[in-house]
Amino acid sequence: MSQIEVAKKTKQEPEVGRWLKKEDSWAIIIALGLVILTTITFFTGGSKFFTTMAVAIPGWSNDAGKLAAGLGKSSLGLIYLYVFFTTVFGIGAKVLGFNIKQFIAGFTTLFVASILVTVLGSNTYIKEMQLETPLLALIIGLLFGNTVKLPEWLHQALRTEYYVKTGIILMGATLPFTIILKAGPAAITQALIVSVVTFGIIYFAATKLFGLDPRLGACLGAGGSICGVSGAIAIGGACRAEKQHVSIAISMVIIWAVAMIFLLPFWAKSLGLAPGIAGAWIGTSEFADAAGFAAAEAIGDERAVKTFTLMKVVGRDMFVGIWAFLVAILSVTVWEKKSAKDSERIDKKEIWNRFPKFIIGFFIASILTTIVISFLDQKAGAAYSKDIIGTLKTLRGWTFTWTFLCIGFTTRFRELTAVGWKPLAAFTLGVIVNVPLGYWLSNAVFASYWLSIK
Amino acid sequence: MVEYITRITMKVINREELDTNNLKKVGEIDVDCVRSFGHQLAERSERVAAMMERLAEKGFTFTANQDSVIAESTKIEAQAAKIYLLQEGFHDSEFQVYLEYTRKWGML
Repeated sequence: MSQIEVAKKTKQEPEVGRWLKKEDSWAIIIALGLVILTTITFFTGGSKFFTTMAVAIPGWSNDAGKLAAGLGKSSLGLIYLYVFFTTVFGIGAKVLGFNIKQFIAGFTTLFVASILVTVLGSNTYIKEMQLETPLLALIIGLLFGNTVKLPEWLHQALRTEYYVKTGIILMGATLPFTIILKAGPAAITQALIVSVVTFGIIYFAATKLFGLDPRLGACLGAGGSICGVSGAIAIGGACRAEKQHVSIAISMVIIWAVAMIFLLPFWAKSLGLAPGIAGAWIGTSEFADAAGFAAAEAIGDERAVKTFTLMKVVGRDMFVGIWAFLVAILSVTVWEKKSAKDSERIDKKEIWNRFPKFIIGFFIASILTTIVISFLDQKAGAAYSKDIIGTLKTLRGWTFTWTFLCIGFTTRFRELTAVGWKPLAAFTLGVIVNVPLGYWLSNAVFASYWLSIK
Repeated sequence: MVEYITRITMKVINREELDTNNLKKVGEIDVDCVRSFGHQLAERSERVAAMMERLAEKGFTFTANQDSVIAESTKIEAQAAKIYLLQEGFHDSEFQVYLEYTRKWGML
């Protein structure tokens, strides 16, 4: 019997089956499904379920009675919210191969924690302390995650990317496509400048100053300049970096991303930046989508979240595939010291394979709602914006709260510190350049674009 | 923090390398063209089979699509697999390595 026969053979799954095994696919299904369902019910008169589900906890100070009354009024909505998201996230989780019982138990805990955090975050005294719900969720998550051993079943539901991607696609539905087209060139240009400079500095420092492996240098550079953990993973794959390289880059991204959740909003507020500019700066200088949303939400103004999204998703995330393709070519030619003719061929499909697919959902959601509004008269358009876009915005808020709690619960500082000083130093040099450069580009060079986003 | 899958694509029918131009010209085909094409195909198939044998020793599993054999492993890192194939006498042009990392769970 030949060795080939001995080797276990696997049957290739059909295309749809493989597509459904990806988190991005389920984020698209859930979020776009929600956009389509709410839109249909708007026209058929059945949107009450979704508008009830869009629970916003009212502000309160020391009047517990007022809070209890508000919560009582929202109880049906909270039940709808819980049932709906447990069902849709649960179906996705089941197909993705998570332990469904543990996922439901974990998500239930996460849901209860999100209500508690939102209630606390709605308190006027806590708000006065500049502790918006995102920061509060993060702090509480970090406290528990780093002091208490969380049960295994809870981990099944701590899927930061699952929730944030769903939230980003819902964000797309609330952003008119015309705004994306208008701000796109500015976002792409600003992102290109920052990404090239930051990647160059981190890569140069890692390889030339500290003598690290070029593959590690590329992972660090990608994590610090393109799109955080996703960037490090995509570029690590493209240049065939070792598992250890990718893990080090991820640790660096997490350490700095969590620090920036607190620092960037604090600096933006201290410098008196307009929300649009603050959001663009966060979009330029934060390292991960989920962390960036926490920072942008902490500004406390929708314009900051919009400009952050445009900058991060449209300007930076969209180009991961192209970066991966270029680094892959670099790795098989320059790093392996081979001419283009003698080197391994890099398939152009690399660009598509590494492209974060949830971005397609983001664009589709935006195009869908923009088209719907364009066909409605002024009165109906205003009603659609209020009932449907408003509902999607509130639901987006909940997905982000689950995201921020997950960031906190899953970030273990002890596990992140064993990376050595050289990668830390190289990454930090990038941060030192990236943050002021992002500030200057957002607040001076492209300020008019960001200020025009309403 | 991450899991990975190393994928090596080995083209049995590499349209860029095989001289199929003569086969496409209607009415101009001759015996030598067909025979030459057959030799190239046999040679390529033999090389792919040899690569499969080497990779099977490292625990790779195999699937196929229209024109390629795809070897997969979650144990052998991509660069190590590439170096191994080169050491075994294969060339860069005979395969393509694709490495895919995924977050282990819930990471930021």
